[in-house]
Amino acid sequence: MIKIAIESGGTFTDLIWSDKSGNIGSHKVPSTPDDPSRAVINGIREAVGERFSDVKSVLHGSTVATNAVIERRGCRAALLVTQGFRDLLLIQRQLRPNVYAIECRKPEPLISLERIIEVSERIGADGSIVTHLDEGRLKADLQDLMEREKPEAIAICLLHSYRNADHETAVAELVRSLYPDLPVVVSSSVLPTFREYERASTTVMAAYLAPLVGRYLKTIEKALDPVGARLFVMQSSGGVLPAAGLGERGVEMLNSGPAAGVIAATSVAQRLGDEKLITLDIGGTSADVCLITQGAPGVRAETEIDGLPVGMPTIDIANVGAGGGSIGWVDKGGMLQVGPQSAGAQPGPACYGRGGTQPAVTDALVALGWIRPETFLGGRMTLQTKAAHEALSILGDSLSLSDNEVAEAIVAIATANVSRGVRLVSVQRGHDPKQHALYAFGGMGPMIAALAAEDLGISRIVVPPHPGLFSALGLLVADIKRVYRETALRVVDEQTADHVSSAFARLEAAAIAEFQDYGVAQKDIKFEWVLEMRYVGQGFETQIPVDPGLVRSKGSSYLTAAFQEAHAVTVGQAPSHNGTEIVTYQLVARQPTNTDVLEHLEPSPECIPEGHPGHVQYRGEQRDCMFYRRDTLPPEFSLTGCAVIEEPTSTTFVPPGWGAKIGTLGAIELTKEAGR
Amino acid sequence: MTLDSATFNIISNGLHSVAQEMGEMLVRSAHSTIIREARDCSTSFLDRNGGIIAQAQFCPIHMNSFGMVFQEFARRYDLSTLRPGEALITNDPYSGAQHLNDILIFSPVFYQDRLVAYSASLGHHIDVGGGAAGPNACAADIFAEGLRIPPLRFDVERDFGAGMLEQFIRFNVRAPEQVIGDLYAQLAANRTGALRFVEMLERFGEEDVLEAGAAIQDYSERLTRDAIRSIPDGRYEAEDFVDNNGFDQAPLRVHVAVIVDGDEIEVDFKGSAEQTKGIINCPLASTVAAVYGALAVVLGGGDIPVNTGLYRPIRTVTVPYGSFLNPSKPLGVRARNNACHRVYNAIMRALSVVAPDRVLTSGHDTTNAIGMGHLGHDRYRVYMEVVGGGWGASLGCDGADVVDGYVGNCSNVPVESLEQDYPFLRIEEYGLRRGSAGVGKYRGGLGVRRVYKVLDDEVSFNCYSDRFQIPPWGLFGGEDGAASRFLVQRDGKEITLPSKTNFSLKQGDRLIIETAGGGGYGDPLNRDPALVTRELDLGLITADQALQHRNSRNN
Repeated sequence: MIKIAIESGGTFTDLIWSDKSGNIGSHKVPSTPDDPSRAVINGIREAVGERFSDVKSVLHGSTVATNAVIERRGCRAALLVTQGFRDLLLIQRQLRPNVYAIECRKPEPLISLERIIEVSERIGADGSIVTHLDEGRLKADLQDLMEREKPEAIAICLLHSYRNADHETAVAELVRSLYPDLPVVVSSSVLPTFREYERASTTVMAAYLAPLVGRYLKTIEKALDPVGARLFVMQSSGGVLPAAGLGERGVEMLNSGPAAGVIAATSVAQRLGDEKLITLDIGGTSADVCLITQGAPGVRAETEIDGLPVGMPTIDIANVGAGGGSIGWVDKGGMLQVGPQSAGAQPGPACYGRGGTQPAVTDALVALGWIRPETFLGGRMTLQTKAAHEALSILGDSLSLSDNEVAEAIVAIATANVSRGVRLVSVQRGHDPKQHALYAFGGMGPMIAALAAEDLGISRIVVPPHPGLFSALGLLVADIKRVYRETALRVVDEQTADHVSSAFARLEAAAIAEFQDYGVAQKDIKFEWVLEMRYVGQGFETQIPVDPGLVRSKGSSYLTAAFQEAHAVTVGQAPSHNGTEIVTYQLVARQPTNTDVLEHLEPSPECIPEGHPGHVQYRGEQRDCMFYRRDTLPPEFSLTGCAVIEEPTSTTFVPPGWGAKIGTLGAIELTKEAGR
Repeated sequence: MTLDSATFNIISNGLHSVAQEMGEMLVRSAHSTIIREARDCSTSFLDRNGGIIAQAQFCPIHMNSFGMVFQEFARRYDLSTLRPGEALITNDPYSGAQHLNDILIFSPVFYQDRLVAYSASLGHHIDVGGGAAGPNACAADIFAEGLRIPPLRFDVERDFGAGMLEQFIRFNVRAPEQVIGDLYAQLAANRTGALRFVEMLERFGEEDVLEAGAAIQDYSERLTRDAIRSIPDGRYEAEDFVDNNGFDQAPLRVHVAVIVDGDEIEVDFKGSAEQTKGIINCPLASTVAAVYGALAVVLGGGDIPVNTGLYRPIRTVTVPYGSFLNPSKPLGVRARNNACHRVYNAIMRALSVVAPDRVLTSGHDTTNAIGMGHLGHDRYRVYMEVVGGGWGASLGCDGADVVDGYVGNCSNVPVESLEQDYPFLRIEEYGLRRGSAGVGKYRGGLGVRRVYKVLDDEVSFNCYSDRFQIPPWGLFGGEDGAASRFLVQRDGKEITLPSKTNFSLKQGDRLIIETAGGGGYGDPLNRDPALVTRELDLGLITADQALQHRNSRNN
């Protein structure tokens, strides 16, 4: 029985598989952006060859949903809104992106005005019915819409439906009865929280993606049908869900790629005994950073795609524009900048020799000798050192710097951008990065990690196995997981504990029913209970993990105390206040996955270390440096910087003052030497 | 500059994030909808001499106010004797602040026992007392506009909480929980700024950080001078008008002369209207902030970091004392944003002759401050929102629909949030105001139409607005946008409201707010015909407007 994970990226599709006997293998194929499912299906066949019929589960992470939004390739969706609010996707929140810009363009909505119709109905802020639903008029308007626009999916977002969903439900039933083949997405089930623009934007995005995601997943499922393999899809919340019936929730696939890497890090950290860690995933164009405390990453209630808000539980990952392809340039005022423009894969950094002339971070690293041109990507691509130097000297001339000086400056700025991302998720949320281990992966993460760690005062770095395929590895170890939410504003008083208990009971019942459909027994489900609370009058909530046992035994005072403590950490001391209120009840349900596959990543004790002496430029000096092949390093092998550890998908830089050891699971553990 | 280029980049980005994080902290911990939802607030970080190093770009009009207020504090107090735990506070328009609702707090930042910088925040407060819950359109002077906090040096621990300052403010405002809660949010933001700045000093060393702070200002100055040099030398004059003072119908003139001389600029407002009764006078700090803001758009277009360096090449800003752009005490100033917008408009118009690619037509360019108060059984509820309108058009770009005017960037309050917080209101309609944009090769932005249903008696409507009489103008053949109008429908009749008013609403009333559309840019006949057809089909433009695009084509 084979379990195979596939992560589709913009350039490459990565695969990792494992079987019951502990065999593990990886594979990489070029992505097929015109139809990403082709690379997925072919990749599986290539990776496992004649053992295809042994494949039982396929775990998939894909940017298909994200790209469809960015490139506006979703379906012709229509939107039904409350009478009087037809223009809400255009008005948005009334904000200008840059207050000093001449041209002001709001993000373009996914549904244009001709496909938005108004429904005669109104529910008040307290959930009462102000105007009854006019079904007769709705039928006529729907018919006209269908004939005129032929929409491929319907989104429904009516005012205050998070409080009373009766009208939305009635409208949805009517649409379904008249047009049974159309996907229908209802705001009160997608995102039952207040703020109508954000809720509508999320609902619209779900409808916009539904047919496309549905088709995409069906294509893959069909290819898997002959062998009876099940398809699971990665969610932005960091769990996987069975693909069957996921179409209408395609919106939950947004931003799932970075989430998978975080999940892999969480599992590896569990084995290594790290409770507090910060993940650093650096690829070609950007760096993704996430803080993990008590073994779990934070989850945020909303995110943004191409300027459009999406209220989906998303792993709280900060993204900064610093990657291997980030370009160094001098702005109008004479300041050296790095990124956010990236050389991408085409033309790529100058050293790729594909016509790139502007120096990228990778060029700087090649010039400094940290990346050896002959071993890059395991030798599958020879880099042109000369081209890197040329690009750097042209830039250096404009700043009166030598090419090596400008290379060091580019690396320093890229590192600072990365550190800023780390501060964003740690310092700015009340956590001290010094107490965390830095888990570095992606092609470029292990290269920059030690430099960023120096900057942040972090003294422990872990480079897990397969850092360049780490998101794919994350899919193998991700749990089946879903986040359930309910909004009901309530000031905390004596009776609140009972309400909390019954709200969670409702959510648990929903979860148990859904997981049963997935073939998961009730006893195998693990729950986490989270409240989103705030001081009365505040507009933003703080997430509070709660223990339902304590809610029952200690009552409301437990809720208030837990909230005040969390608020003090993340936001700071509160003023005198009018009490606290609960805004949202959130239940995380998961079926933990067996992560034993990680055990098989350990290198063999028989390995004989292979190192080649060389030189690198570091902080203005030429230094001796050993270059190791990672797959030759046995368990417990240790080394000291300056050293570089090479492998086909990534490169680890160990600067002077740092030591490295091959530890549990074959992870490279870097430690700052005392006193340095 | 002795700093190497990497360090300069790293520190200047770091300083920018400090101000940004302060701003986010302020919004996240605020209590009033006007700050937490509409983001009517700003944060700034100043060097020890009051030079602005970095600021969070929330509302442009707040920006340079920090510098002017700081100078007033420096004049009154020996700031070198400030101790940790002390802070500075004011809202006085005659001491460099804006209008009374904008309360500024400066917190000194200490490093190794020395005062090294100031973190500062400005919050627009939902209520500061005065004659109305919201703008008091018939205020005869500043005393009728609310509580005036003189430039005060205070000790946070001693004077807040049960202390004199907090209690004094608490007793003089209609929504004390929100106002005091927001003041604490400002202090929290300042504290965050101080903490982060000290961390930077520890990381990079004081000398490098302060040097980078100075270098950012030089950097902006350099870019600004380059931009000025690209405009031909000369004296460029223009005017625009505020509708009236809310009492009589006389328009108030803003006259500007922009003198471009090499890489420097002088701005002169001689010929502008005299100061007047009512609330539309504009304190000097606001007039100067509007000049800086307008030039930041024309010269920088969003690409120059806005700090003291950007202001340096502006040699002088001459504003005659006693004009409504530099009034004498104690005139009312609540609606000063109307005049500020005309300062922007006049500068745009003056420079349109020589820099047609860098100016905008007039948008609605008004702060449509919509306030309502309701005294319920339990407490006062004060509602305040800035309702957007159409943005100006420019070479290559239609004006955006429904955004705040130049001087602010307030977001709307979600209708679902508004109706929860203000149960005496329901929104029946919130949409684009069709047909309101001025036509042109590039059209102006559309204004908004919003209908409030009033659900209880004793609701007072308090507002100020503008562009009711003098509509937003177009440029180079583009037409004017539609003027704004406010109406009340009561018992089958329509009552037309003036732009600055206090009006008693009754249960069952429908209050209709229709804001202006932006002026068009360029000849309407040159507009892309496909766009004209599409917008006509969608009803965004009227049949008459479509004809203006097509006339000569058919002839």
